[in-house]
Amino acid sequence: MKNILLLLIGILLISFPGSAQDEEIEKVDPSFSISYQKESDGTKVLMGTAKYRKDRVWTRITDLEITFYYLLDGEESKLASTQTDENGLGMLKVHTEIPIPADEDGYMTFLARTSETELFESTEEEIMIIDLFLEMELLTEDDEKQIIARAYTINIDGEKEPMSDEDLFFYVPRMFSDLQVSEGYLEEGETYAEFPSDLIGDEDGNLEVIARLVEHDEYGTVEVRMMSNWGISQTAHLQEHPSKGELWTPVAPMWMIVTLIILLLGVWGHYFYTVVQLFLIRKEGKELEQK
Amino acid sequence: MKAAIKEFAPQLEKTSALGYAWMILLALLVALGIYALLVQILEGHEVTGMRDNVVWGIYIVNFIFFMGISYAGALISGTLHLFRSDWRQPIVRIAEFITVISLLIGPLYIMLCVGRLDKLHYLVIFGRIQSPITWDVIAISTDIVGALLFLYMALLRDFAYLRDHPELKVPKWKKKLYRLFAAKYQDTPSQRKRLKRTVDIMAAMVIAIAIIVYSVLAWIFSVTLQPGWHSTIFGPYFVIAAVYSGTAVMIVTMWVFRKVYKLEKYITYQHFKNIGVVLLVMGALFGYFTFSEYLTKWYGSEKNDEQLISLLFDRYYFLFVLSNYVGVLLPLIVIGIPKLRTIGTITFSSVVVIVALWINRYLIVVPTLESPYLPVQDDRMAWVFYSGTWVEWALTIGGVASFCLFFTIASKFVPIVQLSTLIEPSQKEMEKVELSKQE
Repeated sequence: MKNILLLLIGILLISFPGSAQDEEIEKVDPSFSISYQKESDGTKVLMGTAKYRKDRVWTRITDLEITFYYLLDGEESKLASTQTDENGLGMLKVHTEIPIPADEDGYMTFLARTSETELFESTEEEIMIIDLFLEMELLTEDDEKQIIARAYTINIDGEKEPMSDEDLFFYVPRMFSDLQVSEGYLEEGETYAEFPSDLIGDEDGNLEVIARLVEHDEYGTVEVRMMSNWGISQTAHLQEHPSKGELWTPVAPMWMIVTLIILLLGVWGHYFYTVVQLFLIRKEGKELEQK
Repeated sequence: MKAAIKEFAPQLEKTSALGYAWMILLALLVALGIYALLVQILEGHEVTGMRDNVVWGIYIVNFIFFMGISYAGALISGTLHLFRSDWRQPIVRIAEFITVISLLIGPLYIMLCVGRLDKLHYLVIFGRIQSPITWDVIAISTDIVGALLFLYMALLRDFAYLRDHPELKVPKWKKKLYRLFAAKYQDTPSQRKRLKRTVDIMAAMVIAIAIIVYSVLAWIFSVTLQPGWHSTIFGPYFVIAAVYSGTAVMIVTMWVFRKVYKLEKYITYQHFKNIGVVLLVMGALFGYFTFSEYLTKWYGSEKNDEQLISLLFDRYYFLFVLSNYVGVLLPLIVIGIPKLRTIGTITFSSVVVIVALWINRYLIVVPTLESPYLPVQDDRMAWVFYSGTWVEWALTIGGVASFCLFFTIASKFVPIVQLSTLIEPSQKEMEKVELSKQE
């Protein structure tokens, strides 16, 4: 019986590692998406996001190589490669010096391809974008602050074609995210929006205004930024509305200082008394020793 | 006097092989903690589970826990001393040691939370009285000085007895230290009077300071607007929880020293029963405060409070039940029913209370930080939810091992039972003498 048990244990010990080694790791097909954003200076930003499902939870894939291309007449031209960060995001900035050719309908076609790894299959995604131009003007009339935004595309003949029937949003960057301050509806390539007069800017009242078309199917996200002095000076605002609850007031409230002093004097006073008594005990002992 | 010293001499003179093995094991665990600390210093806080959202974790839990034990030690030793209860004598030194040792270890954990230790001195240079962190720094440093002073004054007479006992076979350096610490105390009536007066004052001081220190610690949480922390009863709740956990530690320590040094004659069932009653009362109060705290939050149905409570009853369900149900009900049943009340069951329920109260502090700190007012910027699981890393656990084990090691070393230096009180007439006997004189 004992021998049979030993034999069984032996078989189990030998068979388990072997079967684990024989087992091939099945590669995962990642979920991959590509998006486009045009920045204020005309830089085109291509973003590829890779993730996969692990235990029914979406997990971002880090350090995955993504290669970006642009396509023209079915021919791929490599732009550059990048790696995904801890958010699973790989980003490529295409500066204005690098011209991206468009097809006869005005579409620029981008392709992003992930490399095959030990864990993941290779995958690719395509996006077609029409290059949109956004301009912004900031006007002040009779104390009213007005934003004028214009949006247009350039056709194959090099002529401007105004964009219409789209919403455009206006923002001001704040600490955590961009604050939407207004919105406009594009008609014949133009829209107007009023800017609020109670926003706090920096020390001189400067703040940045952003006009943005958000995640459009044909144009992607396009934005234009401008600095203005439309904000209220932070220094002037703090002088007019001194905050009472903040910790960075120069001096603590009087009640707090008094309470602390009373407590500390009371406690440390007793400590001092105790130490003095200890010295007196020692002194008396010394005198006794000498006698 | 000689008989009393003779009885405790083996504790001071010899260390058994098992005793050495115990100390080596503890030293190794402390070394593991030091290694983890080095890893954290070299690689930064990334090696811990603390992230942008959950900025506090096991370290702050350990800090609150050790400070709580210290407070309970101060309260028990201070109160027993002031009330002159005769039964206190064999256990009061254990309480004094608990106070000082945990007070030396606890604040180290708050330093582990600081990312830039090289700028720690800024707390003193640029600290503002308005900041609760400054209150904490002032309060803890005051408490450490007070507790050390109280312990020293309470030990003074024993140092004198140990100095004056030539038969005690201890190394020369130990004798020298006894002589130094005895501060030329000769037990003259005037010296005794002075000492009694100062120990009385310090006993009252340590109680008051401990209450203030632990309340300040609670206010660090409650002055914020975080769900689960912004509570007016947090000060007393923390104080009660501290006494509860500290009393449990006291009972376990009594049990250990009773077994190791064979002190059955001195630490009796009556001591366990008396301290057990303190544990029972504190357990009832702790249960009442906990219930009151969560009931009002649940009834108020504020969005973030609801989020917190659902987290406690979902992700942390097991820990919540263990901490707030088992940790409260078990001591109530075991100590409340006389038939169940034995030294073993009281000690066992104390161990459960220690674990439950550590978890209680974890449930106060972590789930609240996992329920922020502002939406979490990054939805990675490691950023949303906290879990301690091996570095944090190693430093926790290192801290507990340091506590045990310091206690062991301290018990090798001075008797764990106050000699001076054992060889003097008790309070009742003194009163009888006074009465007979008056008659």
